[in-house]
Amino acid sequence: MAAAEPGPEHAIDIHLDELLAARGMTLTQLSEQVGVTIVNLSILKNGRAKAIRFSTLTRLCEALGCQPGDLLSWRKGD
Amino acid sequence: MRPDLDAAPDQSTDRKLTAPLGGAVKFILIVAAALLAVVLIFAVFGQIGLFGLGSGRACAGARTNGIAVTAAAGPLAHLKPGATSGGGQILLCASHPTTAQRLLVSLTQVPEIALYLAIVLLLAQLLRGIRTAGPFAVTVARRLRFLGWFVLAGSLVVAVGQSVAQSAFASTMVTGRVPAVSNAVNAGIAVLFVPLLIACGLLTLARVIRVGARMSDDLAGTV
Repeated sequence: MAAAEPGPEHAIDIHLDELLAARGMTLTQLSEQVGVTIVNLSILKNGRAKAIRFSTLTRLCEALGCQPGDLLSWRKGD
Repeated sequence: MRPDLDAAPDQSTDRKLTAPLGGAVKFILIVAAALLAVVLIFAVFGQIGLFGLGSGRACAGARTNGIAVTAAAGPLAHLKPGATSGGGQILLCASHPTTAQRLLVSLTQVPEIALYLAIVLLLAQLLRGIRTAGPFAVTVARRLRFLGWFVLAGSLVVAVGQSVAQSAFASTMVTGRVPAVSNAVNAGIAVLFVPLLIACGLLTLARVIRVGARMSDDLAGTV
């Protein structure tokens, strides 16, 4: 599955889709586990978030059993 | 779509945010509307002369600058020995005013009231913007900036305009020459300080709000 398209101000890809698919989780389930609204998780998933709090990142990593590096990656520019 | 925040309070619907100015503006608008209605009814149908309307006398203030005052003791009678009196402003009244005189009298009073009313309406619009878009929004900054320039420019234009109307009215009442230009310049200078200070404050506040809007925008995109 393709990574979320990054916003114009950054080149960070979010791999939430892949992690959810690999764990067979839905966005709703993740939302309930981490206590972040589906709207905000969608914003994060689609790369429209401007920043992510360490607290959110911590809860996402806990829920998904992953490292921050699994969730985020830097896309090298052309 | 503007992202919602998990932690941030919803300030857009908080009416307390705009208190006490919101209540004051509402009160002023209600009182002003009621007073205007009463005054206009009395002015049109009653025997009083107001804003140049009505069947009564039409009166307007005039600066005594350049107008000869013939009273030897000055404007006040029964002064104690050694005391003198003088005034920069006198009240000129036309017992049977012409339409042009009525219009000039209106122009010496109505613009100031219209300016105050416009400022209150702009304030109401600003507060409505704060309630709907939140305090840190570009719209709020833009309205604050406009209000600042409006207060400054409006006060100057009204002061000079009313002074010109006063001089024009005075020139219909006295045989001598009325120094309209110097009166207008003096009126502009006299009124300048407070609106300038208010305008500077509002323009500075607009800059602060604009920075706040940028920060709020960043925060809104934080998950």
